[in-house]
Amino acid sequence: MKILIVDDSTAMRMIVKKTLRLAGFEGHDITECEDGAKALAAIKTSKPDLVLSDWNMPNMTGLQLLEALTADGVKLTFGFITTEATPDMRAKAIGAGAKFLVSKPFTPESFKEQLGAHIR
Amino acid sequence: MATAYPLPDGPKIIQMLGLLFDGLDVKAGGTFDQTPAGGAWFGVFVADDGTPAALCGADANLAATFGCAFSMLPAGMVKDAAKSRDLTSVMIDNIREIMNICSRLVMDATSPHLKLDQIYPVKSLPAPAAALLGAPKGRKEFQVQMPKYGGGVLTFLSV
Repeated sequence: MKILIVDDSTAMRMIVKKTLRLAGFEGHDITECEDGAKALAAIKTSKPDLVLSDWNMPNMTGLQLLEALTADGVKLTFGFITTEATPDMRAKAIGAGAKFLVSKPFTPESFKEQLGAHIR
Repeated sequence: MATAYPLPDGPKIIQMLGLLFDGLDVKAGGTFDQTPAGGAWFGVFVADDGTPAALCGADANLAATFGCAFSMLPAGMVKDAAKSRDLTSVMIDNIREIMNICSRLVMDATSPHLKLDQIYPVKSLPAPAAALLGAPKGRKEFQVQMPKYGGGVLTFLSV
C-alpha cells in the first residue's frame, strides 16, 4: 500500500512513520511531503492509496488539500493527524470527505484503532 | 502550585521523544544552567494571545546533543558544539523541530492551547520569556541521555 505523510514538521513525519511501524503497519511504501501544495502535486504523480495529513501547514492546509483533491476527482483514503481536534474541525474534515481524524499526541494503540480499517 | 499548563514526567517525555531517539533515557532531576553564558537554548511556547505560557530549555550539552542526533551528525560534533556554543544552522533547525514536538508535552486535553513561537539562546530571550524564566509558577528538570551522543539537562517551565 502507498502511504503519503504530509506535515510541515520533519520530526512529526518521523514520529508518524515510527508510530505506524509500532502499530504493526509495516512493509508499506511510505513517502513524505512538507505542505499541502507539494502533496497535491505529488499525489497526482505517485497516486498513493492513503494520505495522512496535518491540518495546519504553510502554502496549503490539509483541509484545502482534501478539497482540491475532491474537486479534481482524485479517489483515495484521506485522514487527518492534528494537534487539535475540535468538534468543528471534525465536522469540517468529515464533511470534506476525510475518513478519520487522529489527534496528537497519539499512540500505536490509537493508530491501530483508527487506521486499522484503512490500511491493508 | 498548580500550573496553567501541565508539566511532563519522565515516562511522558520518553513516550514522545523516544519516537525520535532510540534508547532515550530520562531521569527526573538535574541542575540547569540558565545563566547567559551557560549556552542553553529555549523553546518559547505562546498562548493564543501571543504571551509566553511555557518554556522548554535544553542546556548547552543537550542542545548540542539534540542538534546532532536528530540529523545523525557525527557524535564527535556534540562536544565541540557544546563547548564552543557555536551551533550550525542545521543544529539550530533540529532544536526547533524538537522544541516543536515538546509543545505536546505541555498540553493535555484540558489545558489551554499553546504553540511554539520561536527558539532562542538563553542570552537572547525576549523580555516576556525571560520574565517567565525568572519566575515560573511550575518547573521540572530532567537528565536526558541518548546512546552514542550523550545528553544533558532538559527543563520545562510554565505560568
